[in-house]
Amino acid sequence: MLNKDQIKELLVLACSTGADFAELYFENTYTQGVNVELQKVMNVSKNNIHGVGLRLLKGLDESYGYTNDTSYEGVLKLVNQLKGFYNSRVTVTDVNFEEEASRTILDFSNNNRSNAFDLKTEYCLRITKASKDLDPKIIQAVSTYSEHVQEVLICNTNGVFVTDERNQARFTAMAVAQDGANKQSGSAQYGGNLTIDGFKDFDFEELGEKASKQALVMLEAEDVVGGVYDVVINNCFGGVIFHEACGHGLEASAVARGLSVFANKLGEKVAADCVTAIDDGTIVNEWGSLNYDDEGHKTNKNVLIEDGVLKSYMVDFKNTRLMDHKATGSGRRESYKYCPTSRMTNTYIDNGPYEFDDLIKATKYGIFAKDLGGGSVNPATGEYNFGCNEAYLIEDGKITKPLKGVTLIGNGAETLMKIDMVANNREFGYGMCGSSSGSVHACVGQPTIRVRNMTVGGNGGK
Amino acid sequence: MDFNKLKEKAFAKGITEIEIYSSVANSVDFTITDEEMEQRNVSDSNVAYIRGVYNNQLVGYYTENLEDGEIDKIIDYLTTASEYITDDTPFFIYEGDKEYKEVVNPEFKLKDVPLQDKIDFALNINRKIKASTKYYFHTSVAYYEGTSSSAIKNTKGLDLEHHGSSAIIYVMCDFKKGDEVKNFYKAKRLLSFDDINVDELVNEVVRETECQFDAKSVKSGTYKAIIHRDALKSLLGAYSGAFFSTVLKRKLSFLEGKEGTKVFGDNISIVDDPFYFEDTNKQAFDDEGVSTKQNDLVTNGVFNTFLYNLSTAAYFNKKSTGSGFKPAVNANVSVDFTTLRLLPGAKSYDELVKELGNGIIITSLSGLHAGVNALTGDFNLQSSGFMVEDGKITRYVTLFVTSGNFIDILNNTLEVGNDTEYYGGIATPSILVESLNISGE
Repeated sequence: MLNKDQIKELLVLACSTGADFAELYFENTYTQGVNVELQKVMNVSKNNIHGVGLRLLKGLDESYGYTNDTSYEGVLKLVNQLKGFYNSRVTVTDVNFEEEASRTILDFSNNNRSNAFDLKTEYCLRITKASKDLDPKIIQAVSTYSEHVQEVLICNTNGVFVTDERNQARFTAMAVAQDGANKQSGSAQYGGNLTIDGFKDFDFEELGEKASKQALVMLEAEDVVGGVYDVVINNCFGGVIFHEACGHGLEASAVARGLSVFANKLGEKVAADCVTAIDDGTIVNEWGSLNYDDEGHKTNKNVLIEDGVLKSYMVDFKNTRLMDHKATGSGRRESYKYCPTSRMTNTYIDNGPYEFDDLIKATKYGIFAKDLGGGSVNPATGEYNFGCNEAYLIEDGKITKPLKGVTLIGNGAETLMKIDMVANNREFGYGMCGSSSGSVHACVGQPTIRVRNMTVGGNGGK
Repeated sequence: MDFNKLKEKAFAKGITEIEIYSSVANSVDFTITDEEMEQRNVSDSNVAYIRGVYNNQLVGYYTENLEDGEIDKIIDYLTTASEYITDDTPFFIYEGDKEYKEVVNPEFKLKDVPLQDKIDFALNINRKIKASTKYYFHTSVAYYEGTSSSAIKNTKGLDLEHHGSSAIIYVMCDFKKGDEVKNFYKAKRLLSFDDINVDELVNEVVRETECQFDAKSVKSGTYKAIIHRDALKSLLGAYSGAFFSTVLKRKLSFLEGKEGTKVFGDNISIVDDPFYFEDTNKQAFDDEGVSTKQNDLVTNGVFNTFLYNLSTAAYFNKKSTGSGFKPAVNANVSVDFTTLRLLPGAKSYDELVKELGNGIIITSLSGLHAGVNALTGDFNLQSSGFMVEDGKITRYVTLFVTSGNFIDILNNTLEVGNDTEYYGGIATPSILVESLNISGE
């Protein structure tokens, strides 16, 4: 590992042809994985991700490079490659690193950490056993464990010299149920910034059964008839609606160049009064949390929308040069192979006043989207989509028959205005969010909400 | 990492076979946005995936730190991790085939072209787009060029190398009319500047972006339809796993039990073709060292074979189809196709449109990672496309959901076009189908 003086020397050298900012991101990450099918451990895996990324900026002109060779010579070669892209007056001749106080948003000090696979395989086997044992119709049960222990050092010519450690871990369950020729699947997951110790009191059997129950329900489901419906979107992973429909549109990478439907709308009403939406990278030991973002800035609780009014975007360092907006601790990247940009952390709609039952009772005819899958968005146009893993019809204020093939599409800006009820049962779901700076761990969350007049696609009614 | 040192230490610890799959890659890319240089990137990676057999189990370890000092850590991991695996599927460290097909890939002519020439090429595209529309808002033109070398070496004597280079141009247009912003994205692979007809590319992206303005959704209903090759490529890719023996083994393929039977219409033939003429990175062997070959997956609607690697072939008592590929360097060998081709028919795209008469053309599908049911073939996907009236394309339509079933579609394909385009390992023409369910207004 290079020492502070060597790093300082390399950063100054990187700016010697006119770049006004240089940043080094060193990473050493170990990932582990377990894959279990029924009662067999199919695979255990371990990866070592190791390298360094260098970023230079001159105004908005950005260069980025990476290498696995983290020796002085390896980094020097990278410096020489990138500084060759610039040719102007030198503005950076020294760097004074500031000492950062340690933060305990991610705190693993009380947890035992183990590289051994004993508990990891045992927990996976408990999941698949519970999954398979629930019902004879369950023909396949799979569980996985994934762990991502990341150590980073971030240093730049603005004086940042920060280390951080992240430890995301997650268990997933997937089950397949079969009845005659009909096969359907179900899934469930749980995770956080947790060592394996952090899972010791978790109910793995419940997780396995949850996946199987979903698969069994979907065997009975009929195809939804496409059309326009009031949709009650459940809590937890239902928060992916905000993530896809609006979250990406509030990232500076889209906003800065006007390529978002939410650009130039600070202070304006962009959502119904009942909507307050937050991106919070400081929730203790949560899946999307960090002590410092991947540019070395403290993460924050950023209130994005308050009572329907747009209050803030998520802004990384580079885009503060384009926008009149402070950095929000939102600079993230998958690894040293990526240049950072503004990304979400733990993004959620805050609790409202209603009970869950109030939303169902108030809906004469609609859809209850109990569990959402993933989705995607075009931030420039606001058009989004996502699929439902489990959904039901609502008739006369009651949840009735299960539905399959429910796909929700819409326009993010319009959807925010059509939320008319927000419950008080907020929970978080865990996912991987993909964008220009790679795949990052991101929580989505919300209480149960109701959205009026959503376009729902489905194969029913033929 | 020194293979002999790795081998020596492995044997000393009781590992009976060892293999290293190494990958060295370099790349340079840049993005021009609105005629200004926005970003340049360079990369240099040297990584390896090591597999070892210990106590009759095969375990793998991926590392980006190839210093010889890491070897002890790797060996230690391989010996301790093996005790956790209880799967009894046969595994293989392969000695290689006696001979391999000689594969000649076209020359990468951009290798020695100065970077500034590439920047000028991209700038030219950006300028032409700007000059071709009154709705210009932003445009990014990105150029990516990469060189990679992979090598497989093991204690059974396998010692193979593969080298490849390629470049890609990406164009992303954002146009604005009033408050409405629409965008379109196109990527094209190239080995030389001559591979890109710049005027044609500019006309396409401008046309495809502008036509989206004032677009509305479409009335819900059932429509006769063309699935454009761009959309069909997405669907084929999403359902390609049904042909994989790894998916079959997990009981997740809708083709289970159907080898030798008719699963699609007579006009549907699908092949896995490792030597497709447009593939600039053809490979004579898979990631286990087994020779690649053309695999006729579906012939005139009859499903012939799954794709197998050595392990699944042994499990199912078949032969490897040379399909043992790693989904990424950091993963173990699985199964994948090389170039997946839906074989073309006789009709041109214009003839398909005429024959459609009245209906809808689906040109784009989104949300495939969530709206596709790989078990059943059902899909419900956000879509865009064009309406067709009396055999003529009329208006662009957007923000609706196309629902259908992949198996049904390929059983009710009225015509297969001859307008094949190849990108991302898939080559397919457009098809005319009997009906699709559309949910919109």
